[in-house]
Amino acid sequence: MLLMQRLGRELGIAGEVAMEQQMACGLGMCFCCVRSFQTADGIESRRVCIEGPVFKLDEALSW
Amino acid sequence: MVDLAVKIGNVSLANPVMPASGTFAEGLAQVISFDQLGAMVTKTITAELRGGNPTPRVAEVGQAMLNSIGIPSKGVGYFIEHALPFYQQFKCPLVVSVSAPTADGFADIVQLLDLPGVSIIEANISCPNIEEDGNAFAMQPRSTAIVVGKLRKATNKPLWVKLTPNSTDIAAVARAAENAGADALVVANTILAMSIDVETFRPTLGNIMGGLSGPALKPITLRMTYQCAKAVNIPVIGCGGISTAEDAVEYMLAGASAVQIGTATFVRPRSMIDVIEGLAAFCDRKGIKRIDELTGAMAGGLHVSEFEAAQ
Ligand SMILES: Cc1cc2nc3c(=O)[nH]c(=O)nc-3n(C[C@H](O)[C@H](O)[C@H](O)COP(=O)(O)O)c2cc1C
Ligand code: FES
Repeated sequence: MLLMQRLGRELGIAGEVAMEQQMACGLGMCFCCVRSFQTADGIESRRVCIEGPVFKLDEALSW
Repeated sequence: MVDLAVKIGNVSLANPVMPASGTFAEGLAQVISFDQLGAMVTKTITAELRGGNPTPRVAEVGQAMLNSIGIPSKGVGYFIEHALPFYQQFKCPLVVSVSAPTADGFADIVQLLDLPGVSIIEANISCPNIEEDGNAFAMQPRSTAIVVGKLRKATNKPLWVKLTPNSTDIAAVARAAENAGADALVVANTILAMSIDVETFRPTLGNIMGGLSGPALKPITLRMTYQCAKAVNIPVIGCGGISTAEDAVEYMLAGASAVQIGTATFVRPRSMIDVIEGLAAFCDRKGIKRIDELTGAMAGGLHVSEFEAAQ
């Protein structure tokens, strides 16, 4: 993913990434499936089950 | 027809079944009709923005699960603007679960929630993840009395207090909450626990420790429901490992006036509806006209000696 992000940035190509995380409810209720994303306002947690599973490649963080 | 209605203090519920905090949100409305529930219970909210714990936040262990979600919260303002209007379309009462790092913080947040549409406050003084090493207000009668006393002064809404099973004498904590003005108790939250992946040598949770919930918890929180119901005169709401109507009946026999269902909803999103229907069928089969007759109806009464029971 880091390589794709670098290539996307260098070549000006937008991309998307499908992410995984353990899920308990799958309905946006339990907040166990979060991943971190870099936004203009700082780092944000988003739920893979409801806000994803596909996210903007350039915002996704690998942890 | 069985009468499923119960009263929790001054509040009437159409039936004794409601979700456990943190396992219920708007998304479940895609699967079940909230109008069928006894009440709706929100995820615990805090006044401030909170991020919650590192991932992985959940793990399966035997007949149970571990979670270390923590209390990620977008803050009380976001809740009032976005979640509250959504819940107002349903007719059953809305129980808003709150938490804060200090007793004064608890008082502050309930004052912000003095709004129509908020029917009941549930004070989560028990979440084992938020304070260092799992310490929580509800571990001691003294800290319970202080925080519940401040909450009582700060709100006129019905005040439910959710206890932790991570306490050596939960009956004493229950009495402290009652004396400080709680209208009902929720017994209980998750038990502090952990597990380790022996292949990687890593703890299965990012936070190392977390809360145990699901069927394995039931005999423990059932015993605590029994102890609390014996110790206080306010209603007790049973919670821990309920997935069938028979589980709910057990809690009511032990003294619970109503029940909350959490982890079972993750396994079967329809669990609460199945339990409601199962309770009606159970009462029918047993010739019980009103479900509230079950509360404390354990044969022999609620007064078996704990000393003898442990022998
Ligand atoms: C994923 C998850 C999140 C939870 N979040 C909260 C919470 O925010 N506040 C709270 O009071 N309890 C919380 N709990 C505890 C439950 O409300 C309930 O007390 C516990 O899970 C035992 O019930 P159960 O065995 O039916 O799940 C949470 C439990 C789980 C599994
Ligand atoms: S799995 Fe529960 S919020 Fe995504």
